[in-house]
Amino acid sequence: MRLFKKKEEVLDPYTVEQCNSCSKTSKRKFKQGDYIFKVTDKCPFCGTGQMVIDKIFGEVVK
Amino acid sequence: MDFLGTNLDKLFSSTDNSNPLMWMVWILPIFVFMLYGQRIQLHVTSSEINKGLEKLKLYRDDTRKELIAYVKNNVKSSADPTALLDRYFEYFTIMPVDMDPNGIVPKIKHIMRTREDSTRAQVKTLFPNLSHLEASQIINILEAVTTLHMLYKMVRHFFLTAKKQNNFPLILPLQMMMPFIMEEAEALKVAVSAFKQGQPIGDGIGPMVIGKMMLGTEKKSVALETVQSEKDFEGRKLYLLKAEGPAATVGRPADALEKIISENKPDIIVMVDAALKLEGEDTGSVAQGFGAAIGGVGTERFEIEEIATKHNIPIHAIVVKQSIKEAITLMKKEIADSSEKVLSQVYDIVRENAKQGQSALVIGVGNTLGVSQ
Repeated sequence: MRLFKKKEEVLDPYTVEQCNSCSKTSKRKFKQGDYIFKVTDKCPFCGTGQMVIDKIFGEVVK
Repeated sequence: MDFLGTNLDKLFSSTDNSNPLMWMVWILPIFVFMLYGQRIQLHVTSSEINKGLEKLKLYRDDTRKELIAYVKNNVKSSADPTALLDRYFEYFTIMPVDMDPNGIVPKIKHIMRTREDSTRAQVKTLFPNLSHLEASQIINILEAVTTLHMLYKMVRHFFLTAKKQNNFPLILPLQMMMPFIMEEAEALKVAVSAFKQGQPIGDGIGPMVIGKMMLGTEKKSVALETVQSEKDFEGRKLYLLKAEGPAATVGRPADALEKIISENKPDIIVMVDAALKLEGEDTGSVAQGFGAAIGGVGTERFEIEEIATKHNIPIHAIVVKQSIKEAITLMKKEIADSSEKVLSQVYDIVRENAKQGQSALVIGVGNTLGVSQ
């Protein structure tokens, strides 16, 4: 008999984009269709580079 | 205390050995446990296993429903896919006879390839409108549901046999294995969500590192669902190899390795993969070693070892530690963050073990779902 039930871990998916010109990064919620190294929009920081998805990962919901 | 003329203190007195009631209190349970101990244990154990079995059934049914809903949403067809999919859940694989193990690996490879190829072909025939990515996702979810179905059937078989025969020793190995089975089942259940949404899984860390190295290079297909590219690094040539993303596939690294070596013999091989961590180890910790870092049934590893031994090429390995659940569910931050460390270790290994003018083959092993190149 288990007296203390283990709390189930829930992961929230996030996408990190990085500009291929100024190397600035931005983090947002994962959207369907995202994949690593996908070229997305123009960089909002420098305006010349392209944002590329660098990482997609799950963070534990606290 | 005195109830109806009986002195309870005297009745249960431990100092009085001649008291017959005290004899009954101590001796009776000993006899009961001697005669029925196993049955009592069988009852307690089987109720625990039954709870696990109920959970397994729930997981199987939930994932089955999720797969059917996913197919219905993505396939624009009027026909109901339920009956077709239900047929796949009963698929089985008969492993070759191992009485004479000589030459068994090519036989296993042949059988596994037959299964993979036929599942892939059937999914594409049944749902021709699906993209390559969607088809690979369905194949992976199908594999998860089939495994859950198989786990449920196996546990149910041992449980019912033990109950039917009142066979306590038969239920003991099942009781010991249940936590491991449940861990795998829970991982498979959660994995379906990542497969459906095309999110990278923990096992994709190898392809993620090599995919980063491949950026800006010309990629060409070298084996089924496997891509290769070349890159110069500090006077050394790097041959980069990974499964073709972002589809849910592990590719065919052994076939690709054979082809690359027949054209250009590298001086070292570096393999990057996810590895199961031991209890107490940190998720995302990186370790270096030697030998072919690749999982699966073992045929790919066997072939890579054979080729490397034949050509006398050293194999270096870098692994990122994670649990079975982390390996097949959405990639955790700790694992994704380890990619920079792995990348720098790959370059270090190349610098230390291949001189200028020499070449290295770097392989990213794992499921490349959600990871392009």
